[in-house]
This record gives sequence, structure tokens and C-alpha cells, in this order.
Amino acid sequence: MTKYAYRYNPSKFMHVKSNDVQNWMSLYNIINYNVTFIDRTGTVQVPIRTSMPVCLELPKYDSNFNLSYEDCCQIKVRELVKSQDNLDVPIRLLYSGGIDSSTILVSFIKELGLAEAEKRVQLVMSVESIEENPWMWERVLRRSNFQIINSEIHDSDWGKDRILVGGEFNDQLMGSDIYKDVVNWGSDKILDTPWTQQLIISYLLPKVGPYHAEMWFYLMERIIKKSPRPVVTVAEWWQWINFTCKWSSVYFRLIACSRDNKNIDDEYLDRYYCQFFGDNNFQQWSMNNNTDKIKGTWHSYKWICKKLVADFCGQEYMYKVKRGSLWRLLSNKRHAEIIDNNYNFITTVDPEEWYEPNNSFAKF
Amino acid sequence: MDYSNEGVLYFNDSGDGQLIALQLKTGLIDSEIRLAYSSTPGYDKLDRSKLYDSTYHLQIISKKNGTIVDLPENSHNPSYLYRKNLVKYRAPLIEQLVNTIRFQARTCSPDPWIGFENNMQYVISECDPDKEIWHNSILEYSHINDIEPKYAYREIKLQIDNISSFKMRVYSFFKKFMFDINNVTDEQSAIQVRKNMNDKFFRDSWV
Repeated sequence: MTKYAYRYNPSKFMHVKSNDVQNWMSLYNIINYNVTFIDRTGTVQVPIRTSMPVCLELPKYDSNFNLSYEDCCQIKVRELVKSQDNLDVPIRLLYSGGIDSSTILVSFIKELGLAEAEKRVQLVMSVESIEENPWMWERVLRRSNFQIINSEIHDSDWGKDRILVGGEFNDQLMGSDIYKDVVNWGSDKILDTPWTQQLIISYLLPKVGPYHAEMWFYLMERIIKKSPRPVVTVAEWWQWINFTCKWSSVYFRLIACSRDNKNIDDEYLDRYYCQFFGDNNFQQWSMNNNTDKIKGTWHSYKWICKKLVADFCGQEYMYKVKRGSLWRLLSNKRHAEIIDNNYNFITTVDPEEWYEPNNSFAKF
Repeated sequence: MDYSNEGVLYFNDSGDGQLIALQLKTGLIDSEIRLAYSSTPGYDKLDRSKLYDSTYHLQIISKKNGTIVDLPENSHNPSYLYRKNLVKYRAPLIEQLVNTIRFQARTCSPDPWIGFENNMQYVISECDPDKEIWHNSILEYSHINDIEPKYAYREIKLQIDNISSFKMRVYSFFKKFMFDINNVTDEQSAIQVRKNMNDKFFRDSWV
């Protein structure tokens, strides 16, 4: 039976000498080298046989969608509480203290009240979580009755005794971590600038050289054209690319460092693993909304989330800068190099075994 | 030092020098560690970078209180030369590895005193949260920080659990990479090990 990769480590393929693979590999001069690039629009095929679970497919665009971001948060909390009542296990929130997990925690407390939230939700956190959001810690958590679990052990923690909730996908809904680099290259004003071929290629040029800059512009523009709404600005360009092409990567990156993974399959993930911001409501919100994500400056990125958290634990939070807080959960771990469509966690990879000749890079 | 001819294989006068030398020794049969003092005759000949040079040879003469001299040419035996060559590839990797784990271990425990988590571990072990029995230090912490003892216990336990788990993981990778380094025999394998270390300690956690 043919195997497909749900998640792969690109560095395992970088020494494959063929032209199409090397063309594809130039991507990792633009984005982090450990990103599993799988295009949900189906436009760009990498030279690896890839697939994705149904739950990660791009939803059909609903132009009538009109829920606010806050509505989506509260609806999601209610869904999780209902799941919890059915399964009769605690909700275990991966609380890094970052913007995303803070938003989730605030949503739970707003919906349930602190006392009820303390009973239903456990917090997987570390000392860094305290540093990341000291206001939440000092004003809410430090004197609360939340059960606190050491985040350092979660990689072995894939049982059926709780629902694990994480804050992935919010970056894909809102924008892209590439914004920071774009701003460093151009200026804060560049995010709100209408994208042009010249602008995008100019950004890519120092990273990949002229040939691959043109190639990537060509490929990305074809993905951009699949957006149901016009993509106008540089920020919207990179948000759509992130939303469509990094979705699988973020879903699986924590799963990839699980040590005890025998439980993991579609059914398990559907019941016991929830990346909060990944459901249809949030994706529709993102596809329908370009005003609530960023206000033209890097500092305003995820302003709507910061506002939700700041309203709850103090206005100082509005000055919080986005920085990756996930690295601690991923650092010094042994990752599966490939997770295939049967949830085999593969640590030794033969690149030839996964090669896909019908790919988008062969013609360049 | 090479046991066969007392030839100096490696020199390091940093705080981690002994640790690095010990790790090097684990992968080099018939090597020993010797101490040299700044008052030792010939001490100024010791130079870590120069010792990587295949033409620079020193000897530490135990019978002359560790005096350091040029290694006579007739003592340049093949096994000594082979070990010297291995040190050239392995020592920089071990230096990088030791520096990395020191840095990583320190970042996860920002307390004023290195190893303070051991003190905290003792305090925690003397508590029984189910019976609300608290060590005096927990009561002190609780009082000074204006939180209840059960929250003080939780807070300190989180800290030491984090430190302990993280350090153990870092140590696990330390052992793994020491095994890899001790199998390095040439430049190519050294490059590969360095790449693997960089990937595991840094790049794999880029998000």
C-alpha cells in the first residue's frame, strides 16, 4: 500500500541531488528548515508523497460567515466542555504564557468562571510560562486552584485520560511569523503596502537568488489566486501562504516529538487532541476578515487577542510583543522524521522511498 | 597526555577544561589527564590552538615534576600521532558540546546559586501536601511572597520539576553526542556531528 507523509523533516531530503528536490529545498532559505510544507489548495506539490487527514483540509469558503473572533473562542470553549462531559476527563491546556494560550485560558475563564475553570482545566506549563505572561501569573494563576503540570513531561503524555488543548493555528489565522523578517527587510509600513511582483521578488532575492525568487513568486502567486477573497497587501500575501501551506506542519509538530505514541491515530486525535484555533469557525473568520488581524505594524500583530487578554489581566498586556513560546516544548526532543498516513512514527528515512516525481518543481 | 610517550595531546585552562579533558579521555585509549601549574617549567609552551598543529609536539615529564618540553622526534610513535589527530577533530566538538549544555542548563534555572534546585528538592520532599504538612522553608517562602503554603509548594515544585526534566534531557543528548564524537575519525564525520548537534540543540526548536 502506498504510504504518504503527513509530516516530514525536510532536512532528510536536502542531500538528494535531483534538480526538482534542490529547487524545492531553496524554500528553506525563506522559511524555517523544519516546516512541513503541504499546500492545502492542492496547487503546489513538493517532491515528496504527502497527504493530510480530512480534519486539516481547507474548508469551503462561506461568504455569509459573520461570527466575531471572540464568538469563535467562546463557541470553541463550549464545544470542549461538552466533549469533556462526554468523556469525563479533564481538559489539559498547554499554557506557554504566549498570546495564543493566554487567549484560550481567558476564554475558558470568561465562559465558566474561575472556580469552574479551575475544576475542569489543568495547566501544562513551565517557569517560562510565568515569564511570558507575568500579569496572568500574578493576578490570576498564582493564587488559583488550577492543577499545574510540568510541561517537560508532556511528550510522553498522550493517553486517554484528558483532552489535550493547544494554541496552534492562531498564527496561521492571523498572519505569519515571517512578518517580523519582512519588517526588518523593509519597514513596518511594508505590511500594509499592496503587494507587487517586484516587491515580493525583492524580498526573496537575497535569500534564494534571482532564479529561485522568480520560481517561488510564480508558485506562490498560483496559491494566492486560490484565495476566496482578494489578497491585496504584503501582509495578506504571507498570511494566505501561511494559512494554506503550514497548516499540517503546526498540527503535527508537537505530535512528532511524542515518545509514547501507540495511541495516536485519527480517532484518538479527533477525541483527545484539540488545537483550539483550527476549527471551521476560526478558518472562516480568517478567510472573511482582514481588519482584525493586524493594523499595519508588527507591534499590532494579533491585536485582537492581546485585547482579549488585556481586558482580563491588565492593559500592560497590549504592549506584549509576539515571540515564539513553543520552542521550549520542542527543544532537546527526539522527533519523528516522518509521520505517515498510518501514524507510523519513522525515525530513519530513505528519501528515495518517499520521492514523488509528479511535482511542481521538476519543470524549473 | 598520551600514556605511551607522555606526549601532550590537549591543553585547556578554562573552568571547563577538566570536564572537556575527561570526556576526551573516554574516547582515547591510553590517555591520561595531568595537571600543570603556571609555575611549572615550560608552562608557557602550552597552547591549545598550537597543539592542533601536527608539527607541534610537547611532552610532560612526570618524573621531573611535570616539566613541559618539546617531545623528542624519536618519541613520535604512530599511536601517539593517531591520537593527536583524533584530538584535532574531537576536542572542538566536545568544547562546543560542553559549552552548549552549560548554557542550556543555566537558562532553565535562573536562581542565584547553581544547583539550588537540590536544596529546593529536599524541602519539597519534606512536605506532604495531602496532609498539609509543610517544611519551614515553604512556610517562609509563602509568608514572604504572600501566598498560601499550598501555592508556594506548587510553585517551587513546578520549578524543580522543570529543571530536573530539562537537565535530564540535555544530559541524555550530552551522552548521545559524546558517543558520536568518540567515533569521529576524520573531518567529514566531525562536520556531520557538528551539524547534528546544531540541529538538535537549536534548529529543531525553531518555530
